[in-house]
Amino acid sequence: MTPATIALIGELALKYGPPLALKFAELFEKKDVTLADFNAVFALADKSYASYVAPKPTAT
Amino acid sequence: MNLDLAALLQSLHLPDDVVATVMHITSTLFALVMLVRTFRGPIVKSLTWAADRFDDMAGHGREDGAMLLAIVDSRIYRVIWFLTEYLFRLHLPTRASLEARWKILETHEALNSQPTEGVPLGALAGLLLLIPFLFTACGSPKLAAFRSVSAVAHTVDASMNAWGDWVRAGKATPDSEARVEAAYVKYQAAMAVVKSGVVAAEGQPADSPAYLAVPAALSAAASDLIALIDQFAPPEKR
Repeated sequence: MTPATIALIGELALKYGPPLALKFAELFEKKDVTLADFNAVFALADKSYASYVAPKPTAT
Repeated sequence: MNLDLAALLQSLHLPDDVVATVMHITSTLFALVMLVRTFRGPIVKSLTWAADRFDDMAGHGREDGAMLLAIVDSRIYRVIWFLTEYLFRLHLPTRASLEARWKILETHEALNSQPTEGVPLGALAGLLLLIPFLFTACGSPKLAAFRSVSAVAHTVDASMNAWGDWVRAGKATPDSEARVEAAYVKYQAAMAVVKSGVVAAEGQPADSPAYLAVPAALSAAASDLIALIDQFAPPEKR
């Protein structure tokens, strides 16, 4: 992991918190990728706008 | 912008190594300008914050002052470290990279001209624009493409989750919702193009040039979306 990558991860951690920074860190552990890896990423972008702004279900 | 520096230099019948050197230096300068612009907000914010703290600390002990200086130094060093690392690791001297950097500069000019409330607007958006350049310097084109696309997708997802919280809190106007939704749809369209490119390239070697064309348009669309969200839902108010 290069210093530039660490700096990027640091910026993201400051803005969005550790979960996203950890995701980025995981990216750099991968040495080989498959179409399934790509598809998992594409699935994120398939989420509809409505799903992001929909009311969250309350615990009962 | 129609920038054809390479053709201009070649028309002067300069040796190839001279042309390559000039292109490299020019491209490096563009990159430096772009990065300084990108991090202008955080740098100014850090220095302003430091000046305020020094005022607060008037009359306090020297240890507090030394600690504060160390914090400020670490922030500034981080930016300098990033700049240096970026400049020395990239594959710079091509006409395409020059034109891409012009486009990024223009984008940042537009971002920086938008009203902000003291937030380094565009800082993260700028990072997104840098992602294709950051990641093409490491590993195979396929791995670099995956890291770029994945970094963008996760960042947008986090940003959209924050936007969702903002909307649920009743803080978004109908107009801002419509604009963010339109930007998100545009981002999805850019991602769909990337997806079809990746699927088409599947089966080719990891160092296939087919993977090189992946992320620039995608990160630009994502950058626009995140800048819009930052504008409507300032991070310090979320």
